[in-house]
Amino acid sequence: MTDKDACSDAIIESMSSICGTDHVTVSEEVSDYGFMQQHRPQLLVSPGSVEEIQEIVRFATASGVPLIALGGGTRIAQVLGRMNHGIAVCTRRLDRISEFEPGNLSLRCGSGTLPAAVRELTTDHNLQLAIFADFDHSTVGGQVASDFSGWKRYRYGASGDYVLGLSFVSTDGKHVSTGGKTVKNVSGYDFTRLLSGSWGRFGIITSVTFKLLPRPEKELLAVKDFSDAEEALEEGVDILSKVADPCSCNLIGDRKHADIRLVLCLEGSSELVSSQLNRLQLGTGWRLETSEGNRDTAAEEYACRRRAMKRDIFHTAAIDKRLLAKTFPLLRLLAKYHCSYDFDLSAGLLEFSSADSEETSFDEFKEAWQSAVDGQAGIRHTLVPTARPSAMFARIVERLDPHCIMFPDNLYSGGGDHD
Amino acid sequence: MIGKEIMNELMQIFGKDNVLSSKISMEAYSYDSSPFYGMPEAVVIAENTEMVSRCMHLAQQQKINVIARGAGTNLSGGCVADQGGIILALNRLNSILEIDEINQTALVEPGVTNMALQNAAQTHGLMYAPDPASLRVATLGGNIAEGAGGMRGVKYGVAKDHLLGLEVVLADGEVVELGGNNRFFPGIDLTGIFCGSEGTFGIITKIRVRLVRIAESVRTLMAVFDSLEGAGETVAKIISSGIIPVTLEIMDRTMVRAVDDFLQLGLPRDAEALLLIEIDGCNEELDGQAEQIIAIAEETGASEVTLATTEQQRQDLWQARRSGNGALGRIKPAYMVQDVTVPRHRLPGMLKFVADIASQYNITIAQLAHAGDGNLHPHLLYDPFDLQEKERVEQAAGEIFKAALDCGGTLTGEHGIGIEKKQYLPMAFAPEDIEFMKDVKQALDPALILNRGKILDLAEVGDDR
Repeated sequence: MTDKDACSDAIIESMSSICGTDHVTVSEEVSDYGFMQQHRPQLLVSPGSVEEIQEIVRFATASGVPLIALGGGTRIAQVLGRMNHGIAVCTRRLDRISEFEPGNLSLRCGSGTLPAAVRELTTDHNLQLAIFADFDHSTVGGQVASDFSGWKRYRYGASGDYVLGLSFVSTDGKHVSTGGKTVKNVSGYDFTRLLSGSWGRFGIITSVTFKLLPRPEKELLAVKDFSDAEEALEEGVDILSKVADPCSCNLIGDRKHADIRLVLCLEGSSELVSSQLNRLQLGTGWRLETSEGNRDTAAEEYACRRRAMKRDIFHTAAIDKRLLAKTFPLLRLLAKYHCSYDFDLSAGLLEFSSADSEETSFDEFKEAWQSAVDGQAGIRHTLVPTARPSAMFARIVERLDPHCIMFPDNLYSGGGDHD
Repeated sequence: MIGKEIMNELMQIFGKDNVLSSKISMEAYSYDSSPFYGMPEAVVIAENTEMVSRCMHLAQQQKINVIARGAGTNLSGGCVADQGGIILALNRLNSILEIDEINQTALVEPGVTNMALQNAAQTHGLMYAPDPASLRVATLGGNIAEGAGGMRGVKYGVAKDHLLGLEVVLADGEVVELGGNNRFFPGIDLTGIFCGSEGTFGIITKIRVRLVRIAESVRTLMAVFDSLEGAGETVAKIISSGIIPVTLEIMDRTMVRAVDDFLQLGLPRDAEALLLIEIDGCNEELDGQAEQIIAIAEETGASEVTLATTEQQRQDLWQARRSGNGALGRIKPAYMVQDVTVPRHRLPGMLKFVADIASQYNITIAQLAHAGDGNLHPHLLYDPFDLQEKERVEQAAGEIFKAALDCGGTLTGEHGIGIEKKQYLPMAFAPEDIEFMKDVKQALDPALILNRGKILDLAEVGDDR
């Protein structure tokens, strides 16, 4: 039986009548949107308006078909369980920037807007949306729904920190707005933080009002390669003890490269960056790049390595920073199992990709990782999720989504089995 | 109605000494810092999470309204028992459980005052950024429940920006832990919805917050203006220039005179507006920024700009700012302080609007504003025994709310809805938005026993947008 057969003609017809035939994708083409071939919904629709999303949601509620909201699809495979049914709702067409108020440091745009479009508008005003996406096709709505935090998270936080307000279609098809466009706002309940990081579990985000920041006068990237991870880790920890507030300090190990790279970013006024650099007294082997000069070699290389790691299924470990100096055995373990990793020393966050495609090898790795972190207070990780949804979460879902149609197999809300 | 049997159960939970029911005790807990009033039926003083949990279990069974209370500095009636019930005092849960210098976090109980945490963090070179005016007595539980802000919000944000995790007792007595030490760990985190929920979703019993490093140096400036709008323009231009000060505060002439009468600091009494500006950062960068700010202020019409050159001068300026509320008592016996917030670039117009409203309604309004956030605190002064004046003040407040919403702002930036602004909520939100609020409230508190009647009146959910 083909996918098209499996997906009821009635559903395809309904979706086509809502969004137009051109915006309904069935069969294997759905995988082009970031799903794994073996775990993907039966069809994907790309609505072009809030009203279309409302109609889709009402249809899904009435017919009990699950929905999976996605933007650029850059991380959807990461969170989708073994789901092989349902409708993916892609918000890429909601890409209009509806309001830009430089004087208020705010911007409102559709959830399908791409970072480049925001950059194009804000750069001329010396402003930035301080979310540093890994992929150009990652939409702002997707970033908020996943509460994405990029490599500069220590300085700038996560996507949710920039949401002043947002609108979404709730599971009963209502178009709901929460928050506003002011930094201070306690007018009624603020559900921006409920929607940020919820992966569409409580509704499909349709637009977001973001807080903008002035662009830093200077960005300096200092890069050093090490042949030994322990030495790199020691130097990274030493840097953090000398400069209290760098923009970021990351250690990147890549299965395709023998070297371990330490990437330090300093940002701010020229005076601040110079002062921090003076305090550091970086020794030999460091390469420096600034936003004014020889830009983009190290930055682009780092971005490439990070993207390569994130194209695989990757896992995350939050590590108490008091344990940083003792994490060398974990890095050794990752190297032994040919994992790539990006260890944000400044934020205490280790992201690493699965070992390889062979099942046995991955299981061995998982077992080795588990025994390495077992009983270690101060390390939480996603490789073997332990937390099940809380009763409180279940109560909210039961009330807001009684038919359980909204992303029910979302691994981060405990809805599926991680493998 | 709380009868003898329930009182006995409360005494079993809290101990006899921690259950109050005398008339004088009820009077003492019948008000907060707002003009609202309501007699509780009992006051209980919690000493641990278990007591809170058992109390909620009982309240759920008996359908008794429970109002959590910290220091009672609420300005919107959030901790007033206007519908009766039990006041649950959390002040004795006042231990700082951990200051983690490396991860820059603190774990505290809800009764810890903001100032106590500031002092503890300072010894590690850190600070808790939200700094409401009531920080000396206001508790962190209250700060989180109300979504407190303060003067440093321009650069450092408000309570929700620093909240990492909570221990909460839910309506049925279940104790849940939310969030954690690391902001970036993936997964659905329900911590954020408690911030600003005014005790209507659960009772906060532990709080983990993010601390920020104290900057190496600060510069404090004062600019004097012949018009409120001029001061507002300067704020907008400073923000547009790319400098994000720690604080940007405006005081109008009424406020300046009241404070100067009170403190005798030699403030410029003839000025229409004072702008206080503080920037922080590394020593090397601050002089350049201060020069830039002086140039902007002069361009926008400041008649005088001074840079505090000693710590005493700096402290005097901030004392003047922090004394505003108290000093107004010299003019009229009571005031209604509003908290509307507008997009920053709409601030000059809004300041003027409030001044015009004062003339139109023949009342005195003293204006303070966290100008860098677009957060206005017009103090509408009145004599509570002059009923006509009180009515004019209420009408003027309604006009201010409407004007703020009309220019894309919000009813309240940091004081909360409470009882005071509940009637205006349907002006600010569509029925669908309020329905969603109601759904979440009912999911978490189906029996409506958590601070009933605050934020939303569920029986009267609005449809008159």
